[in-house]
Parts: sequence; structure tokens; C-alpha cells
Amino acid sequence: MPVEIIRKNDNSAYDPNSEALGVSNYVTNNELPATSQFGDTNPDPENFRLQARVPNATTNSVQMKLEVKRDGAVVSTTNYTLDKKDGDFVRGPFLRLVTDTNDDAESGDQTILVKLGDKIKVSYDIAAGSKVEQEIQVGRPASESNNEPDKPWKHDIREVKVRIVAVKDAAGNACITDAKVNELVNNANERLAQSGIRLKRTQDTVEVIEPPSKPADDVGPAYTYDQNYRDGHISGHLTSPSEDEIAFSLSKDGDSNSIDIFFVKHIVPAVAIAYYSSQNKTGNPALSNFIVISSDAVRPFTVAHEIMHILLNQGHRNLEPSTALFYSPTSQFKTTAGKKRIGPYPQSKTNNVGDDDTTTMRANAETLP
Amino acid sequence: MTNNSKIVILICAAAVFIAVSIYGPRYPTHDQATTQSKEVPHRNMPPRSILAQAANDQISHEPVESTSAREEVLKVIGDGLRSLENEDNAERARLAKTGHLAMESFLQNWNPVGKTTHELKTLFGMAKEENDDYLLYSFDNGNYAWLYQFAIRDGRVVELTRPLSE
Repeated sequence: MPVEIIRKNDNSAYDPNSEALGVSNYVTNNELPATSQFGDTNPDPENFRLQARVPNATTNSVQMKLEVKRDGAVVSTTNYTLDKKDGDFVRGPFLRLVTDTNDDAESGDQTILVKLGDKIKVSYDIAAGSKVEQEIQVGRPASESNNEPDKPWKHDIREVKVRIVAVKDAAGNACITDAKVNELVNNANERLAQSGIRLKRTQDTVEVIEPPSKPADDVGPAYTYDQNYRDGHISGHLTSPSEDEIAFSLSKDGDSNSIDIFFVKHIVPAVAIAYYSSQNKTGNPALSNFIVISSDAVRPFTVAHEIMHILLNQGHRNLEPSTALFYSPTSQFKTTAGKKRIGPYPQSKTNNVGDDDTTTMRANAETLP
Repeated sequence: MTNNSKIVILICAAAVFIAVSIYGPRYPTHDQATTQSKEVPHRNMPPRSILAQAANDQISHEPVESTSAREEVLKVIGDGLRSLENEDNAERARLAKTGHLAMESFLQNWNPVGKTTHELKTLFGMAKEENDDYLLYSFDNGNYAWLYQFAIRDGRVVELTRPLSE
């Protein structure tokens, strides 16, 4: 008899050989009821629940162990009581995978903290010495390829290559620390996981460079970018790039499928500017797919938000849900109600904005627009 | 040309110069503005003196002519606050920037501190974000936005800050 412990939101069984669990796009406290009856379904396609066969007719509940494994090691263990019975089977409440501690603090044990690539192992004792277990990955392997919009359980993990550069400040120091960059990259991975996307850094540590020289500065003192960075999107498009923009475009790594993220001390007039391809009317592809960020004003989700600009290849949108990661301005904090979500989820459907974002971003993740 | 003719021409030229100095150039209507070049975003900005006058007029509640100018300024601000309703990148960028500049000028002569949230919303419309602590107005060009955050205590503005956005 096949082991079919892990069930989808419609109670059908997952096939761990061809399917995976996914990180939810929903606001964490939305559509995650504390209890569900045996036959209840759930609207979140990435919610799942556990089912066990009872050892005998008088047994009304089963204790199930769920482990999260990362690189072979167990990183968390949770026990669940499955007590909604029908015939020989019992089921537990719906569960949800999340990626940050704020979301994990919601809904008791119903939220499970994971990263893409983790494995979820569930097991229970059906009799003394007789254990039933099943294991399933979070996201299908990167070697596969599936982007069906309504089947997130088929989605492979997609990797966006990023090159992260810190420009030296006026004092000659990197304008941002490795630790801060790691925190921002981690935040971005937490957010992008709901679309089955993670960042793949081209270097393990931040690359520190001298301030890119502007043509006019070739014989003058180095320009530091500590206070000013001129934005050339004068008419909504990049037609006449500023000297700053040309200088940074010349400092890219030459890989057309990596996003170059430049941290400078401070730019005006924004926290960050993303140079997405559809705005580039210069005819020079080097002026696409890079990001410039103020290290002294960066917010928790700035990197993730700007990467969305690049992967969606578009600017902000009218009626963006206030819980969306693509909403501007981004959140100052990582709270559950913050601007963290990527469509599709109920608010993107209600507002009819961003419902296709996961599909679009996944399509562009490994071959940039 | 006789000396008298030269005097007449000089008088006429002076009159034209004075008239233009006093009455023009006029700030264009919204329709006029949207039909002008989209490549020069600053072009449709009202002259600063008109904005300043509009702000003063608002305080003193004076003539119809000035009220009209104030309403035009507030319309530029309102259009800028709704920039993302436009599908066209150039138009949303133009509206956001002109709206932001109009707001900057407006605020030079209009102190928001002490105003009620109702007064703010009457002038600028619904805020992008609103709670008990602040009203946030955003001029978004699609790539980033100019933000005006009015801190609120007991229903009145106590401070205006300009946070940066992505």
C-alpha cells in the first residue's frame, strides 16, 4: 500500500517523486484555520495537511512527527495530533510553510519555518516497532523545469544570479558590511521563496570596488557617490543616461543573466533605483538589469523589491495591494502584515494586480529580460 | 523713423514687457499640459511666483482669480498623487515630478502643522497610507516616489517628514 501521509489543500495525496511542498504566498494569518474537519478543503494551494491510518477501530487519534531537514541535518521537530477521523483515517489541521520568524510566530505549530531545498520528513508509529514515514522536498530540484501557474507543487527552484558590489565611501571603506549584505540577501531569499526563487551569488563575499569613474573625472579627484547619484529617467524612460549611470554600467560583470547590485553610501532621490530592461531606450544593454542602493537608507526588503522590478520588467502599479512586496514604499519591519507577499494570493486577485507575478518572475529568473 | 515714432514704439514695448511680467506666462490647464512635450517634465510647472501667490491666496481667501490659480496648483498636486493611474511611463513620470515640485512650492507658503487630517484630505485627497499616526502622500514615477509623511497627533499635523522610497 502506498504511503500517502502528506495531502494537498484539496486532500489529494502528494507524490514526492514528482511534486513538492511550496512556501505560501498568503498573508500568514489568512486562510489558516486552527481546526479543519476531515473533509474540509482550503483555498491556499500550498497549504497541506497530514493523514494517518489508525491501527484499530478504537483509536481516534495519531501522533505524527514532522522534521525539517537541511543539508541532511534536522533543524526542527514538531509533533502533531491528528484527530479528525473518518473510517480508518485521521487528519490534522492545515499547515503552512513560511520563511521568516515573524510569520512562523503566527498560528502556533501550523506554520513551519523552512528554506527552499529543505526536506520535510513525517513519520508515525502504526504499531510497536512499525513506523510509517514519508519525505518530500520544499520546491522541486533546480534541474527540473515547470512553471504551470496553477500547480505550484510542480515548481522547480529557480536561481537568480546576483553580483553584489560595495562601492568605497569617501573614507576609502566599503560602504556596507558583509554581515549587512548577508542579512539583506537572506531577507530577499525569504521573500522570493514564495515564488520558488532564490538568489545565487556570484561571489561568497561582497566585492569592494573604487567608485566608478565618470568620464569627466578621469583626470580629477575620485568621485565618491557619498551624497549624489544622478537619475537619468528624465521622461519615464532611460534615454539619456547620466554620467553616473554610464559609469556603473561599465562596472557590471558582463554576464547578461546576472543582476549587478551596487551599494553606495547614499543616492538621491530614492533608497534604490532598479534599471529594468523595458525602461532602457538607450540601445545599450549594459544599462539594463542592475540596481543601485543607498547603504545608509536600505530597508529590510529593498533588495527583494528591486529584484522584483528587474524580473517583472516593470515599474510600480496602480492599486498594488498594501501587503505586496512590490508596493512602494517597502516595509520598515518584517511583521506579518507587512509588505511581503508576491501574487498570486487573495489580495492580488481582489485588486487584479500582480496575480501573475510568480509566473512572470520565474520565467525571467534565469534568463533576464 | 521720427523721434515721436521711436518714443511710441518704446512705450508700446515697455507696456508689453510690463503686461507679460504681471500676467504671464500663464500656468497651462491640465489639457494643455498633457498635450505638451513629454520629454521635458519641468516645462509644465507653474512659475514659482504663481504658486506662492496661490498659497497666499488660500490663506487670505481672496479674489476669484487667485482661487482659480490655487485650484490649478492643487490639481497638479492631485494629478501627481494619482500618477500610477496612467499606463504610460512617460506620463506617470511627468505627473509625479510636476506634482512633487508643485507640492514643494505649495508648502513653502502653507504650513501644514496644526492642520486637521480633514483639511489635508480636502486639499490633497485620500492619502496613500493613513493611520492614527500619519498620512502618507506619494508622487510615484513608477521607479521610486517622492513621499510626504504628515505625522498626526490628536487629529492634527505635528510634523512633515520626507522619507525616501524605493
